[in-house]
Amino acid sequence: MNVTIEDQTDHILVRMGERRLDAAIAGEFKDTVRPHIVADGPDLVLDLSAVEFLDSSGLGAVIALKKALPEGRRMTLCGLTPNVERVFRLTRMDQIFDVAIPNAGDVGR
Amino acid sequence: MRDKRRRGTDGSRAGTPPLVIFTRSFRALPGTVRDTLIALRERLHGHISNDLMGRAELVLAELLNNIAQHGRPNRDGPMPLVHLSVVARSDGLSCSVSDNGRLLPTICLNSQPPEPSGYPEGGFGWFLIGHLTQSLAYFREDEQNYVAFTVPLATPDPQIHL
Repeated sequence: MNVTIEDQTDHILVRMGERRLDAAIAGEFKDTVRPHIVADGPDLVLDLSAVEFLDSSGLGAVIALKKALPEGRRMTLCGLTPNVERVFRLTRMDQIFDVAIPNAGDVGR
Repeated sequence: MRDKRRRGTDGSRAGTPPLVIFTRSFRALPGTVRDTLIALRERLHGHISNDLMGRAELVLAELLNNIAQHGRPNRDGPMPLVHLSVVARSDGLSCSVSDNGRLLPTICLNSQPPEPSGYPEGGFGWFLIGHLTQSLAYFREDEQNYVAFTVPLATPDPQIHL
């Protein structure tokens, strides 16, 4: 599975490189990332810009990662494509995540 | 089943685009569900909007993964055999899914989404299916589950359509 985890200056960037974050790989995705985030450390940015399709299993994996973070360690999502954004919005899970806006000229959500 | 006739019974086909149909039969496993959805996307590409495709793919993923995860009648038995049929029509995608897995609890058909504040990791599937479909029907006959619905051309929630 194509996932990269990079130390940036003030955060850890987790980039999901797969086009689909679905039931077939949700568990593997969670198990791959979780060891890197369970201890204290810098905040986390999860880049989903490559993901064209997300189902509720994939959503569950993202939520599980947020829950796995220790107290005080934050997680921000970025690069939500329309299909991914839809799942967060309809389930109202966008309420519990910080979603980064790509740039100031980006109109709407 | 083999003598699929192309002519319509009402003679209303003249001048209308050809029907785009996708059918597959497969054992319900996460990998086969994924492969089927990828094949569906390829089949419908260019015939429907990205928005409709995205909604339909999400609905079918939830339904088919639900069968793969919960439909197996017993631990040692085979995974349920699924028949999927999707027809692109002028008003949206008509879908039917049948499987020989366990009884589908009908309470699922009116599912409410879980509360975000509880950080739920699941329980979204039937809510998404109900929210994104029209004319959702379910029945069970001869040890088979049958689910049929339409994913409408227009989004069901007007305020989403910005």
